[in-house]
Amino acid sequence: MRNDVEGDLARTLQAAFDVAPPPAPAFPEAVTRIRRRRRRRRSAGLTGALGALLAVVSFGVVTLRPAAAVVADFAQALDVREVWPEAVVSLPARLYGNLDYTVEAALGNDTFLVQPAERPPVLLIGSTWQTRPLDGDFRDKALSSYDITAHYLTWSTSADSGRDVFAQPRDGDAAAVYLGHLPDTDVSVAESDGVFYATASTRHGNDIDYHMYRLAAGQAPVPVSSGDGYALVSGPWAVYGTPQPGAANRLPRPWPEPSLARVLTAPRQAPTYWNVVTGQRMTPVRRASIISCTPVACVGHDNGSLVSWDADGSNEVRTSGFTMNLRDRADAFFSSSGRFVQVSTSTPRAADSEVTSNHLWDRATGKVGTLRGGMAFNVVDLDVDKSVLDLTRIR
Amino acid sequence: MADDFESFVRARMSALVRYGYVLSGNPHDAADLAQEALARLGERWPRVRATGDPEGYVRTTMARLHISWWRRRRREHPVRTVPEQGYHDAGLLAADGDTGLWRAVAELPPRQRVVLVLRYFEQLTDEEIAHELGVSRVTVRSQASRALEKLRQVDNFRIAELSGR
Repeated sequence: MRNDVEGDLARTLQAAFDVAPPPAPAFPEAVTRIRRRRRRRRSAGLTGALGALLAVVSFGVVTLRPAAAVVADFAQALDVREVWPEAVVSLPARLYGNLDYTVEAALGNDTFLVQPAERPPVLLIGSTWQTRPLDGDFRDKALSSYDITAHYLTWSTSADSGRDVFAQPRDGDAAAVYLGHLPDTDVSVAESDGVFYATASTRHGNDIDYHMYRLAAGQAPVPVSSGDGYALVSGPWAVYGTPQPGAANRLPRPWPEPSLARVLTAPRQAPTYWNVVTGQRMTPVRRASIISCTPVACVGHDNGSLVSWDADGSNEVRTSGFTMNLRDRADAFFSSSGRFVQVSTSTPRAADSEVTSNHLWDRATGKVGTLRGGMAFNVVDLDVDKSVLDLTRIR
Repeated sequence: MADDFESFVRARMSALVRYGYVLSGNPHDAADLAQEALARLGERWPRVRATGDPEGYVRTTMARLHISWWRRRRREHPVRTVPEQGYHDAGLLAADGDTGLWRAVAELPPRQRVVLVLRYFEQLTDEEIAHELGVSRVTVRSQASRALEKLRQVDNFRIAELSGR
C-alpha cells in the first residue's frame, strides 16, 4: 500500500512526459496533408462551383439536371461503388520511392493531382499509374496552399515574411509562372481569363486582417483596396467578414456545422457573395432551412426531406428516406459543377465526433450512394486501399 | 505565439506528442492523437486562434479522442494486451518515475486515466476537468477515487528497484 500515491503519480506522469519519444521528423507534413485534404474537401464545392457558374456566364446555358427532377431515395442507397462502378479507379498503393500520397483532385481525362509525402504534388495517370511532375518551381520550400481554378493550378510556398505564389495550366504542359510575393499567409487564389486574384491574411494578436491582391506574371501584386476584409471562398466569389469587437478588420464569419435541430429552429441565411471579377453581388435564395450554400446551389432540410435548389431558387429537388438524429450535426460539400453533393451527419461534439451517415447525391439523376471517405476536388476517397471515385467519369 | 498554423504545429508538436504519450501510454497512439487533434485544430484555426489558447484546444481534443478511440477499439478488440514492460521503463526510472505505477496507470480504463492526467499532470481542478470532458464533477471525483484506490495497491517499484529487492 502506498502512502503518497498522488505525489508518486504526479512525479511519474511528469517523468513519462520527459522521456516520451519525440515525434517523427515528418510529423508536421503529415498534419499539413490531413488538414489540406479536409480543407480541400470543404472547399471542393465552393471553389469548383465557380466552374458551373463560369460556364453559365461564358456559354449561356448549362443544364445541371433534367427538367423533371428525379427524387433521390436515401433509404435505398447502396454503396457508391455499386451505384457508379464506371467511376471507380484503383490507384497504386504507393508512388515511386515507396512514397505514401493523398489524392487531391480529379482533373478529368484520367488525370489526378496527388500529393506525395514530403514532396511537391505530381500528376498521376489513373490507367497507367505513371506520374508526371509539374513544371512548377517549388524552390525546395514548404508548400503552403494550392487552389484549382477552371484552367490553372495555383500554389503558394513559404517565403520570408509571407508567401510566394505560382500558377501553371492544369494540363501541366506549359511552364509555371511566378505571380509574386505576398506579405501575408493563408493564401487563396482565383483566376479569370489569365488574371489572378488572391486573398491572404495577416494576424495582429487575436485579430486577422484580410487583404486582396490582383496578380499577374512579371508584375508586382497590386492591392485591391475595395477587397480589404473580404476572403475568397469560391472561385471569384468572396464574402465579407463579421466585425469582431475591438478589431480593425474582420474575421470572416465561420460557417459552423449546425445540429439539425439548430437548422430547424434557427434557419441560417446564406451570405452575400461578391464576385471580384465582375463586381456582381449575390445572395442565394432560401428555399428551406439551410445546411450549406455555395454561389451555385444550396442544400437544406425541410419537413423531413433533404432539399437542394439552385442559388436563384430554381430547380428545387426533394429527397425521401433521409433520417437522422436531430442532435447530430449536418454538413454538405458540393462537387465543382454543383451536380454532386456529399451530405454527412455526425455526432454533435466537435472534439470527438463520429460520422453517423455519409451520402453522395447526384442532383442530376437522383441517384444516391453511401460512402465512407470524403470528397475532395471532383474525387471521392473511398477509404479502401487507394480506390477513388472519379466524378468526372460519371455522365 | 506562432503566427500561423504551420508554425504552431512545428513549435508545439514535441510537447503535444509527449502529452499524448502521457495520455495513452504508447508512442504510436501518442502520435495519432496529436496528429488528429492538430488536424481538427487546423479546420478551425482562425476561430480557435482568436481565443488565444490553441494548445488548450488541442490538449482537450486529445483527451476526449483518447476516450472515444478506446471505446471504439474496445468494441473491436475485447481483450486489451498490456506489454509486460514498456520500452521506456529505464528512462522513466531515471527521470524519477515509478515503472510499476506507470504500468498500472496504463491498465486503467481511459476515462479514469484521463481524469488522473488532467488532475495530476495538468493540475486542473475537478470542476475544470468536468468542463473539459463534458461530465459532472461527481463523475470526475468517482473516477479519480476508483483509479487512486487501484493505484494504492500497486507496489512501489521504484523503491523495490532502487533497493535491489
